[in-house]
Parts: sequence; C-alpha cells; structure tokens
Amino acid sequence: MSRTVGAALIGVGIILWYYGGTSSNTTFINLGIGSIILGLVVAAFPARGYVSKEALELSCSDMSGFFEKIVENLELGGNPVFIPPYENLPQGGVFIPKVKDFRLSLGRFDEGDVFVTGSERETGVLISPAPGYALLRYFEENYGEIRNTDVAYASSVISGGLSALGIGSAEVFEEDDTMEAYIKPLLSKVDSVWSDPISSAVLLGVAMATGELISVEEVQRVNNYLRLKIRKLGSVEEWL
Amino acid sequence: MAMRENMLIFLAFWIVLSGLLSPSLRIFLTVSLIGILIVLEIGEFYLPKETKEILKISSYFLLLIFAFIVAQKVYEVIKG
Repeated sequence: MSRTVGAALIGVGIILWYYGGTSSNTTFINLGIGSIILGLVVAAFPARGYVSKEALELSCSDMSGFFEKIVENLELGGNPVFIPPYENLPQGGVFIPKVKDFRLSLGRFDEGDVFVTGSERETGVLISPAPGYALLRYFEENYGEIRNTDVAYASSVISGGLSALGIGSAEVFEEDDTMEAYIKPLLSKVDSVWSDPISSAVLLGVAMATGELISVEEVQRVNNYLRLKIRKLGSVEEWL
Repeated sequence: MAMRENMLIFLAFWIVLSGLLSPSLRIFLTVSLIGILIVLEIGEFYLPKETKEILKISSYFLLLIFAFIVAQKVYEVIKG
C-alpha cells in the first residue's frame, strides 16, 4: 500500500514539476520536488496492518497466564534473574529460582534447558529467549546496538522503540548497584514482570547494556505503570 | 497513532508549507533540508531503518545543492 501511495506521490510530483517548469511557476516546481521527496519517504515506510493494543493484550495474556501457572505449580519463590546473552545462552534469558537465596552456575546452562535441577538453591526454571527478546532484536536492528552500552542509552533506545511501535513506555534510572524502572506493561492484569513481553524486554535490555545479571527485588503497581526495584548481581563471568 | 506516523505527517506539512510559501526554489530546497534534518534528529529512535536511509540520501542530495547555492553566493560576493 505504502509503495503505491509513494509511487503516486512521485508521479504527481513529476507532473507538478513539469507543469511548474513549463509555466514558470515556482510554487508548482517546489511542490513537485517536495512531492517526489515525500513519495520516496512514504514508499520506504513499512506497510503493515496495525492491530490495536487491546487485541495484542488479549492475544498474549493467556500465554503469560500459562507461564505464571507453571511457576506457581513448581512453587518457585525466588526473584526473577535476567541473564544477558553469553556463550551458552546467545539470546540471554530469565531464570526464576526456587528460593530467594539462590545459587547460579551459568556454565551449566544450555540453550535447550528449561528445568534446572540440582540442590534446592540451584533449582529453577530457565526461559530462553526471554519474552520480549524479539522486540530487543528489532530495536537493535533499527535503532542501534544495546549490548555493552549503558543504562541511560539502553533506556532511551527501548523507550523510543516502544513509543515508535505504540505499545508502551519505560524509563530506567541507575543508582550505583541498584536501579529503578518505571514500565508501562503490555498486560494490565499480569503482575510478574518476566511474563509480560514489554517489562521483560526492558529488563533484558538493561542486563544486555550493563553486561550484568539483574534481579527484580520489588514490583509495585502505580496506576498504569510498574515501579521496579532492580539489583545488579554482577557480570556473567562472576556467575560461571 | 504511533510516533513515526506523526513524524511523517510533520514532514509532509513542512514540505507542503515551505513549497507554498518559499519565493524561490533555492529557499524551498534549503528549508526542506532543514525539515528533513529535524525529522532525522527527532526520529532517530522512532523511524524504521528504511525510512531513515531514504531521508539520509535525500538530505545528502539537498546538502550538495545547498553547498552549490552557498558557493554560488560566495562567488557573487567575491566578484562584487
């Protein structure tokens, strides 16, 4: 559709330019060239059918509910840990430990793992890629690298990307070893940040930017936003 | 409406208005260049890659024309 509109604008532009040239009318020449520029831009604009945010939420909510049920049934009580991409998990992931006082050995993780077993402190569920990872890939392709940058830059890229797609917004503030994030989640009825694609994308993006594992310590709902307290847990090397 | 549609509408308004109000082609091209640069700067995080590519190519083209206009003016001044 956008290509047709773009081609039409270019066509109109050429006619206006020609007409302006033959009749020595500057306004028509201006509008002709302007129309050609606009036609080129419109033709490059991605044409796709937009779905409303409500439709997106309805499509994703059951899947998120299912994830939450798995975690509930396995009685996993630890805070979710977002793991940046590294050799064993090239797409990163989120690990939900069984207990709050967990122990991680990233060297044992593999892309195909879901249930991580061992002692009680090592047990948990690994979700890789984390929900929302595709969003981060899209942001990186379109707006620039997030990996090994910094929290402020990653927050800008993710926030801008989410606004561009019209699906939410997020701000992350760094304070030494802790961070505070305000995220407008996609799913209004889901409280676990890791099962919401947008919250999860933001947190994984922060982990990717810092190159450190991060843990969500506290989740608070403020109107339509989630207020998260995040703690840095150290680099991947420290947890191998 | 997503931000990128707003950016496109802004650019369309800018180009049409500058086309209608500019008394000469040179001024129109310079004002269009400014509009495209504004959209590129503000839309860094909002516009898709393909659209930014086209805008960048357009801005390079208009910059060349702008450089030519400036060179011509400088020549006129030097010539007296």
